[in-house]
Amino acid sequence: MSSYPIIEHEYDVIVVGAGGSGLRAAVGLAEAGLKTACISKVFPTRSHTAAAQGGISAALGNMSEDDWRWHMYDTVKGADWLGDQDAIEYLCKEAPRAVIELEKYGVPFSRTEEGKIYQRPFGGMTANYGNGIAQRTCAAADRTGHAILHTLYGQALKRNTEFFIEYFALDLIMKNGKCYGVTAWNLQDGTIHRFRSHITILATGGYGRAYFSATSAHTCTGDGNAMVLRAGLPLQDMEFVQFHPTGIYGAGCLITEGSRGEGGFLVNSEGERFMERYAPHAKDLASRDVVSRSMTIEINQGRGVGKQKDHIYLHLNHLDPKVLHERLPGISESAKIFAGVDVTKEPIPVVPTVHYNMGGIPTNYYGEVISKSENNKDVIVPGLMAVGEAACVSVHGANRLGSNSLIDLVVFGRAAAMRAAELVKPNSKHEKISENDTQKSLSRFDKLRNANGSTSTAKLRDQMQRTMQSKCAVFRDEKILKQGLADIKKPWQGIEDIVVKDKSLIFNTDLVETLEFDNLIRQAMVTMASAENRKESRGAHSREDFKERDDEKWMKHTLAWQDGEKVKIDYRNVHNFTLSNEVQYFPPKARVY
Amino acid sequence: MMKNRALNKWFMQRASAVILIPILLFFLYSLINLVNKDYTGALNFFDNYLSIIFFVLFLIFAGLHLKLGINEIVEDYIQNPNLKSILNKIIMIYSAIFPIIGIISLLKIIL
Amino acid sequence: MVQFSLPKNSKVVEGKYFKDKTNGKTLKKVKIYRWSPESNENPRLDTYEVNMDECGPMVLDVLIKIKNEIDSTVTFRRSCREGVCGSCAMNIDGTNTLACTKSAKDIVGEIKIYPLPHMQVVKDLVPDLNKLYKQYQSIEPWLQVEAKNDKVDKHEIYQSKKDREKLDGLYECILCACCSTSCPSYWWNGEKYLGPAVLLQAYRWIIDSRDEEREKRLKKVADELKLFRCHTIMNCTNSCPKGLNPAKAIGSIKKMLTQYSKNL
Repeated sequence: MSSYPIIEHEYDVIVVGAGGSGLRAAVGLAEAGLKTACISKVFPTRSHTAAAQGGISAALGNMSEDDWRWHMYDTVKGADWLGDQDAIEYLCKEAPRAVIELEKYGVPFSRTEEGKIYQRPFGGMTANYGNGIAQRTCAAADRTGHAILHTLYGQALKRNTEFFIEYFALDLIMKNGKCYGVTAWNLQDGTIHRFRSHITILATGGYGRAYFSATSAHTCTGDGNAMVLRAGLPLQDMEFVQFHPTGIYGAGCLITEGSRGEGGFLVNSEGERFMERYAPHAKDLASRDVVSRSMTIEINQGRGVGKQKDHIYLHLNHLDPKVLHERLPGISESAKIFAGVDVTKEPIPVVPTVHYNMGGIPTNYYGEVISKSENNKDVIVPGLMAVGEAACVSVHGANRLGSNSLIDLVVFGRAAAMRAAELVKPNSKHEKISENDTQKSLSRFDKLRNANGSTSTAKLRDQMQRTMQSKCAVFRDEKILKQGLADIKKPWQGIEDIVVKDKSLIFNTDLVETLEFDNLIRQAMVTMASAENRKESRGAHSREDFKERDDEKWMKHTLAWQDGEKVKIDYRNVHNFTLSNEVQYFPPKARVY
Repeated sequence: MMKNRALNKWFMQRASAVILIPILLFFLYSLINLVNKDYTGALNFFDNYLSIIFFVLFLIFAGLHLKLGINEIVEDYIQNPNLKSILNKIIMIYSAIFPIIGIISLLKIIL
Repeated sequence: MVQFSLPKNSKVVEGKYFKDKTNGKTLKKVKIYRWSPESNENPRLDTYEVNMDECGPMVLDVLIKIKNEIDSTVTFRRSCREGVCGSCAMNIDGTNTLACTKSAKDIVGEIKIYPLPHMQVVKDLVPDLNKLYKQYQSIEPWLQVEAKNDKVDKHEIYQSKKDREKLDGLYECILCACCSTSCPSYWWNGEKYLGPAVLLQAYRWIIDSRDEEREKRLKKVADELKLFRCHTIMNCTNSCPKGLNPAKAIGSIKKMLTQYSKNL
C-alpha cells in the first residue's frame, strides 16, 4: 500500500455535511463557543437542501388558526404511527420558533398582505386533527430550500465557522465503541486528513442515488450512513423509501407538492381526477405514499398517459398565471426546460420518483446516535450524533409529510448543537489515537484507488440502481424482494473486479464515484433486506402479499447491520409516549385521507 | 461634489457626458454653417457670447471627460501603483493643457 | 497580475480522439478541455464521439455518458442536475452556462467544453472558485438587525409584499459564477473587483427592507475597485443561466449611492 502523509486537526466538534442540518448545527456550535469544523464534499450552497421547493412546516397560524398539536397529529398519522411521538412532539412544538429564527436570519419568505410569512396547504397537513385543510407550510415562492440554505451559509460565515470544502469524508475513527472523529480526503490538493473531535455530527443526507430514477442530486449517496455501517453500527427503518408523486417524467426533476397545494391536480388518460377516488377528503393533497400508490395503480391498470401509458398528467394550467408567476416560478422554469411544457397551457408529465429516505442513523431527539446493547437495550454511541435526512430520529416514521423535512433539519440541527454544548467543554483535551486506528480506512481508500479489475464503477452502479428500481419500488412482494436480495449481491460482489482508471489524488472524481458506490451498495443491500423482512404494509412500505398494517407484530423499528453481503436484522421499540403532558399519545387507528 | 471619490468620478463622467451632448449638437450645427465660409467667416463665429460660452464649456468638459475616461482605462489595466500614479498625472496635465491653450487662443482672438 | 500573453505551458494542444464503439447513427463530436495538475503536460482538447440516440438531452447527460462509458477520468463538478445548485457551471459552445440545463441539441456541430474562463484550473473542467467565495463573504451576506429588535422571539419581522418583491431577481442567485467569469473587468481585476455575482448579492442585502445596515453596506461597496470596475459590458446578464440581471443590480447600487452620497 502507498503511504499517505496524514494532516491532523483537532476540534471540539466536527460536522460532516453542510446542508441545512449541518449548517444549522454548525451555527449553534459556534454560538456555544465550541471550536467547530464543518467538512463537506461540495461547497455548502451546492448541497441538496437547495433543491427543496415547497416549504417548511410550522404551526404559525398566519393564514388561519393553527396548533402545534394538530401538526403533531398529522405527522404521526403521516408516519403511519411508526414515528417516535416524543420526538414528533419536540419537532412540532419547536417548529414555529425555528421558522421565526430563520426569518430573523434573513430567509426571504413570501409574504401575506399583512407582511407575515406566507403559508400554503401541503399534503397531509390538516386542521383540528384531520378535519379540514391547514395552511401550515411556510414558503419562499417555490425555492424555500435554496433560500434557507443560502441564508444558513451566511449565518455560518457570520460566526466564522471553519469550513473544509471539497473534503470527502472516508470513515469514522472508532475505538471501543466510541467515535473520535473522521478521516477525510481533500479533493483540492489530494491530501489525507484526520479530524479529531469529541463529538462528530453526521449531516450527510440521504442515499436517493441508490435508485435509478430519483429527485436526489448525484451527490446524495448517504456517505454518513455507510460510514456508520462500516463502523459496525445499525441503520434504522431503511425499508421506508419515499416516492414523490411528481417527478418530471424522464428527467426525474422535482415538481413541488406545493403545486398541488396551490390548486394543481393529477389526471389519468381518461381525463379523470382519480385522486378523488382514492382519497375522498384530501384528494390530491393526501400524503405522498398514498398519492404515489394511487398513481402507480392507475398506470398499472392501463390508465397512464403518453405513448407508453406510463405516466400521469399534473394540471396547473387552470391556475391564474399570476399565481404561477408569484408562487411557482421555479417549477414553471423546470417544466419548460426538462419537459418542454408551458405550465400555463399544458399539463406536466409526472411519475412517482424516489425522493426521501425516512430511514437512516437511529438517534434520540437530541441527535445522539443509538445502537442496541447485548441485553436488548438502547445505548448511546458516545461521540457520535446524526441530524437531517441521514438521521432517523424517528419523526417521519414510515412516511414523511411534505415540508416536514426542512423543519426537521433546523430543529434537530439546533438540538444537536445544544446537546453537544452540554456534553463538551470548549477546548478540552483529546485522547491519543494511534495510526492503527485509521489504518483500515486508508487501506480501503488505497485498495479502491489502485483497483485494476475490468468492471467500471458506472456499470456496477447502474446494475444496483436498476435492481433497486425494479425490485424495491412502490409495490413490493415476497417473490420480487427475494429476487432483489439475490440480485443486489451481484454489484456488491462486483467490487472485487472494479476498475478505477484515474489514479491521481487531486480531484479524482473517478475515485470519488467509486467510494460513493461503495457507500451506496451497502445501503442498498440493507434497504432490500429490511424491506424483505417487514411483512406488513405501512406508510411507504407497501407489500402486495401483506396488504394491511400489522400493529401487533410490526409496531417496531427495524435495525439493520451490514457485514459483508450479510445483513443482520433486529428491532427497537417505537416510543409510544410523549415528551410532556401538553399532548397525549395518539394511539394507532385506520389511516384514511 | 460628493465625498466619495470613486462615486464622484463615476458621477462626473456621466454628468460631463450629458452636458457635452447639447454643446456638441450646437457645434455640429455651427460647423455645418461654417463649411463654405473663409477665415473671417470662421472668426465671425465668435462674435456672439453664446458661441464663446459654449466653446469654453466645451473645452472644459471635454477635458474633464477625457481625463476621467482615460483614468478609468488606467485603473482597469495598470496594476503597478507607481506607474498608475505617474500615468494619472500625465493624463491630468494632458487633459488640462488643451483647454488652457484653447481658452488662451480664444481670448487672443476676441480681445 | 494579469498578463497579455499566456505562458507556454498553458497553450492548449490537440488531444486524444475517442471513436464511437457502439455503431451509433447520430454521432456528436464533443471536445473537452483536459488538464491534470499531476502531470507536466500542456492542457489538451480531447475529442469524444457520442451516440446521441442513447443519451439524455442535456450537455451534462453527454458528459456523464462520456464519464460512464468512454473515459472515466474526465473530471467535472455536478450535483443537482436541475439548475439549482450551480455546480456544473462551465463554458459550453463559447458561453458560460450550466451543463445541466443546456440542451445539447441547441448546439450546432461539435460541442466544445472548457472550464469557466480566467479562473485557475484545479483539473479538467473544475475551476478554483475560492477567491469568489471569499469575496462573497466580504459583503457580509447575512441579515443585520440591531440586537434589541432581534430579541423579539414571538413573531417574524414584518415585510410588505411590495418590499419582498424587491428581492425577486436577486435572492435566486445560485453562485454558479457564470456571470463573474464572463466579465472582462473581472478577468482583469478579479482580485479587487467584486464582480457581478457578488455585487448582485451585495444589492440583495442592501435592498432588503428588514436590514438596518444599508448605509454601512453601501459605504463598504462604494469603492473604485470593488464596484466601479463595472463598465456595463452586460456579459453577466447575457450569461446568467437563471435569467437574472446582475448589471441592473450594479446600476441600482450606483444609483442608490448618489442618493446616500452625503453620508458616504
